[in-house]
Amino acid sequence: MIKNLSKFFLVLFTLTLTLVQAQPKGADLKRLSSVELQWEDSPGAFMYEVEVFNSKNKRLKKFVSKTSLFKFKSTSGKIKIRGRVLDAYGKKGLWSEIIETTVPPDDIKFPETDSKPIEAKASNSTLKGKVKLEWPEGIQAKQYAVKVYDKDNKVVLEKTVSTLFVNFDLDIGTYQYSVTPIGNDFILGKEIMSPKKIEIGSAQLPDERFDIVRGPGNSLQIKMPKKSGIEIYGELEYSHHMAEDWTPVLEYKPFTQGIWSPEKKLKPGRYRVGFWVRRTGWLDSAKFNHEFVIKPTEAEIAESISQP
Amino acid sequence: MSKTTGALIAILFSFGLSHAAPDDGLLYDKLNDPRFCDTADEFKNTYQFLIKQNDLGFTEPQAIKGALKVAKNCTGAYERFSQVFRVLQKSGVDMKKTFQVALEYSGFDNERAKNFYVLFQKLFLENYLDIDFSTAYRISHELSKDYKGDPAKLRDDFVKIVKYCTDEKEFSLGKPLCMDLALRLTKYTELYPNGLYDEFRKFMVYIQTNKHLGFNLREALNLSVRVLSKGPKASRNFRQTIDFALNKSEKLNLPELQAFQLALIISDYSFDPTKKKPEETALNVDSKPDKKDDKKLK
Repeated sequence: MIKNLSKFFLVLFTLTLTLVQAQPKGADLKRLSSVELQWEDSPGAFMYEVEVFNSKNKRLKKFVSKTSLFKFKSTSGKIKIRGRVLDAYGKKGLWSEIIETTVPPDDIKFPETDSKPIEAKASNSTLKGKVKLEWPEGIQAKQYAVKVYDKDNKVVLEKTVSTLFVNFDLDIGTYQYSVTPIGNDFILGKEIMSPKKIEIGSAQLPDERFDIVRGPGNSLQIKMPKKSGIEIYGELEYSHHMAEDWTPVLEYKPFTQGIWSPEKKLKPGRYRVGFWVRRTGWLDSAKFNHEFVIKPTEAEIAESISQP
Repeated sequence: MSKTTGALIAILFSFGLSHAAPDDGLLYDKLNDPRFCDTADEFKNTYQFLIKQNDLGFTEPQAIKGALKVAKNCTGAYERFSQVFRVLQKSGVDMKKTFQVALEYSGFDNERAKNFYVLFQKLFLENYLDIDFSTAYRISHELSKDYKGDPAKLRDDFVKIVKYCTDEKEFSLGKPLCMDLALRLTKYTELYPNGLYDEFRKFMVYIQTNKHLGFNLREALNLSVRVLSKGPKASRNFRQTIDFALNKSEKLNLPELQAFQLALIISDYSFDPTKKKPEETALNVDSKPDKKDDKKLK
C-alpha cells in the first residue's frame, strides 16, 4: 500500500479569487494559491501524512488526513511533495519518493460584465494610438506577461511587467490582449484573454509642407513633400474673376511627380490648386491650397477685339 | 436735236443729283448731333454679338433685352460695349459681370469707355504693370467712369508715364513704383491743357542733368511730382529761380541748398487754388444778374 504512494497523482489547480478573498484575516496573510492533492486510495491506510517542501528543500507544510484528498494553500513556484500512510495502530509506512511539481499563480479574473472596448485615436504626429491596458491582480502572480494580438491573431506586441497596467502605442486597427500571470520561479499561469477589445481609430494625417517656388521665367512651381508610405492627391479648380463658385478642371490621383507646375494653355482666370496626403487607414490630411491667376497676353486681347 | 437735249437733261439731272453736296452737308451736321442716335445699327450689332456668346448663356429674349439696353445708349454704344466686354471676357471675368460692366460703359462717352479698357490692360497685363485683378479693376474705374476731367488726356499721360518709367532705356523702375508714379502724377493732369507728360519729361531731364542738383532717381521723381503738382508754370518757375539764385553775377548768389529751397517755395507759389479758372469766372459773370440793369429795369 505504502509502496503505491509513488503512484499518487497530484491535482493542482488554483482556486477562484472569491475563495481566496473569503479569508478574513488576509491583511497579514499572504494570498496563496490553492492546491489540491489526491492520493491514490490505499485499502489498509488509516491516515495519510504529506510533507510539502519548496525548491530549496525547506519544509513548507505537513498534513495529516484521514482522506486521500488534501487541500492546502501554497505560494506559487516549484514544490516537492512526499507522503506516507499510517495504519490503524499509528504505524507509519515509508516515505514515498519526492515528487517535484509546480504551483502556478491563479488565473487572472477579468470582470466579465465590462467588455466595453478600449478606444484611442491615433496621434497625427506619431501615427500611433496610446492605450493603457489594465487587469486585476492575480493571486501569487509576481509578474504579468501581456500580449497584444491583431485581427489575424498574430502577436504584435508583448511585454512582461510587475505592475497591473501597461501602456502601448499601437497602429490603427482592432486588437485583443491577454495576460499571463507569472509566479515564483517564473512559473507561468494560464493565459487569459481580456474580454475588452482594443480599437485604435484613424486620425487625420498631419499637414505636409508644400513649398511654393519660382521656376524658370518666374513660373509657379510647387514642391511635393517626400515621405514614404504616403500618396499625394490634388485637384485644380477654376473660377472667373468676380465669381464665387469653383469648377473642377483636373484631378491628380495620385500626383507622382516631385514638382507641380500649371498646365500649359490654361484659359485666363483664377485657379486654385489643392494638394493633400493620403495613407491607408488614415483620414486625409487637410488640403493645402494655392490660388494663382492666368492672364491673357496683349496679343490675345487684340485678336479678340479685332474679331467682327 | 431733241434726242441730244433729252440726254443732256438726263446728264444734268444725274449731275445735279451727284452734286447735291450742299444739301448733304446740311444734313451731315444734323447727323452728328449727339441727340440723334443710330439705334438700329446699335441694336442689330449688339444682338448679333450677344447671341454668339455661348458662355453668357443668354436666351433669345435675354439677348434682345440686352441689345435694347445697349441701343438705348445711342450711337457708338455697341462699340463701347463690345470693347469692354471683350477685354473683360478675355481676362477671365465672370460673364454676367462682364455683361453688366460692358453695358454700363456703353452708356458713357467713347473716351471714358476707352480709358477703362485701355488702362485696365496697362494695369493688369504681365507685360505692363502686372498688378492683381481687383486693384487693376478698381483703378480702371477710378480713371474712367469716376474721373471728373478729360479722360483722353488722362489716358495719354498715364500710358506715356508707364511706358517711360518701365522702359529699360529710361528708368527701368519696378512695376509697383511705376504704377505709384503714374497715379500720383496723373492726379494733376487736369491742370495741364495738353497733359503733363511732356512737362514731366522735360523737368526730369533738367533735374538729372543739372550739375547743382545732385538727386538720385527716387528723389528726382519725388521732386518732379511736387513741382508738377503746382501746375504748368511751376517747373519753369523752379528752373528760373535756381538759375537766378545761383547766378554769381547777381547779388543774391545763394549756396546750392538754399537756392533749391527758394526754388521750391517759388514753385509752390505757382498755383493758387483760391482763384477760379477763367471759364468758371466767365460762367459766373454770365450767370450773375447785373444789378445796375436790374435797377434800370425797375
